[in-house]
Amino acid sequence: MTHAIVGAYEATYERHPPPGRTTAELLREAVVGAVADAGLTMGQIDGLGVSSFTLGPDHVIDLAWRLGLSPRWLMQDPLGGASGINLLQHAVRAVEAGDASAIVLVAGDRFDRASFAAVSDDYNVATRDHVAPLRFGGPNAAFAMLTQRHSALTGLDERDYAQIPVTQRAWAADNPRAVYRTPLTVEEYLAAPVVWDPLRRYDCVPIVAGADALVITAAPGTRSVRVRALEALHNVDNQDGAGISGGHSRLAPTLWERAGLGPSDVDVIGVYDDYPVMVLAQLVELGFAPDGDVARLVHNGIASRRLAVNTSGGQLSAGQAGAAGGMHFLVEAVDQLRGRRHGVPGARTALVSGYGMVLYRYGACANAVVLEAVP
Amino acid sequence: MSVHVWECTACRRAAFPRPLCCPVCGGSEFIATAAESGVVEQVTRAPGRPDAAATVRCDGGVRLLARVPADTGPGDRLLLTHNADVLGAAWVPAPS
Repeated sequence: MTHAIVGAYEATYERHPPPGRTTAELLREAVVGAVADAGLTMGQIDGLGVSSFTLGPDHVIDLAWRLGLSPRWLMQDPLGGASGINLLQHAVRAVEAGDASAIVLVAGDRFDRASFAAVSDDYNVATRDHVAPLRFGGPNAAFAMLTQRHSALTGLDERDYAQIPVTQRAWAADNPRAVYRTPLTVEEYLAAPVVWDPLRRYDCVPIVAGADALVITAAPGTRSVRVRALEALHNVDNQDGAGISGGHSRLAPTLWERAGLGPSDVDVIGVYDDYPVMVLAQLVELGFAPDGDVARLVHNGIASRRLAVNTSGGQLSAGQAGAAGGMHFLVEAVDQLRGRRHGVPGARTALVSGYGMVLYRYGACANAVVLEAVP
Repeated sequence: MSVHVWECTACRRAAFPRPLCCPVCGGSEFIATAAESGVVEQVTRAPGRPDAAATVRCDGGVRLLARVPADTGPGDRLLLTHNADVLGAAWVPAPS
């Protein structure tokens, strides 16, 4: 048996959604869109996987019921920025094993300031007991300190980090789905209010309502995409390190070996960008700065657009729709490989990196996938 | 004045918060030990706030997130407390 990603869809991201656009409605919109994109009917779907922070009290079976599906395969994933690749890892195996023939994976949230605060204060027991009482207002303070550690290690300064949101905003100009598309300059970045030193406004993802979905089948479709390699490694240091180098650096050798490719071979790169520093940390871990020169990676690789990194604008420009952040980069990569998007014509291969789940001081989940277009 | 960090009774590894199993030896018994002070590694400030956020490394090696006085700098040694009302110390929340 084999597998193929044959459908991808992103429900429109919105900063200020109307009242009726609930989490369930966003998920429905993405599921129906992805199934139609795959050229299938809802009746042909026999597997459903979901990731959402705000679907509760419903679970994946409630969603199946409300979507009118009778699945042979169900999965629910709470792993935020790592959930998309985690769901994909299991769905690929499921269709290859014959446990399902057509799986739809969906992730999304209707997030606004209040619901985001509720989720972030009750994220896990450690956060509820030891972080939320500090009233730091979510993970910004922790990632400000992580950025300080990264800066001390690499020598990068604020103008270097600015290149990430500035360049991603330039990519977003070609993405009608991005919530922010107006060009951003380094000077505007530097003039924006400080959130937690050294993080400024444009270092922090805008919270949006939205959803993303993929369809994976056992049989290749026209212009589909397949997984060449997928690796994951979680909680490598029990929160005792700097949070800069961890799971991705250890999974990278196996990932590239199994893919039969190297970092210089991929045409499109999607890296989970909850903060600019994490874009750089993951790229370095995955081998995109083989000489260790991170400043060169920033300026000659990312800012020059020699590397096509976060071509949707990333979450920093497209928006962070809760758990959809883990699926967003997969949808973008699949769209690029199927020639559905501007920016990287003729793209044949893509790398997508997932990261997330701040346990106490930083994220603990790491995964990555190498995708290729199937003509 | 101190905060409780957790020490594996088998291998003495320190941890915070309290783990279920020790990541080094697999043991599942821990005793609370008092960490009285720690050294500030990073500090960050948000405009309009009278305090600062910090990563504090306590003497047992465990790194803690804490609220610290606004004039705290990296390298400073601060007393550690679970009591939010103690001024001038690093506050590490913990359920009472």
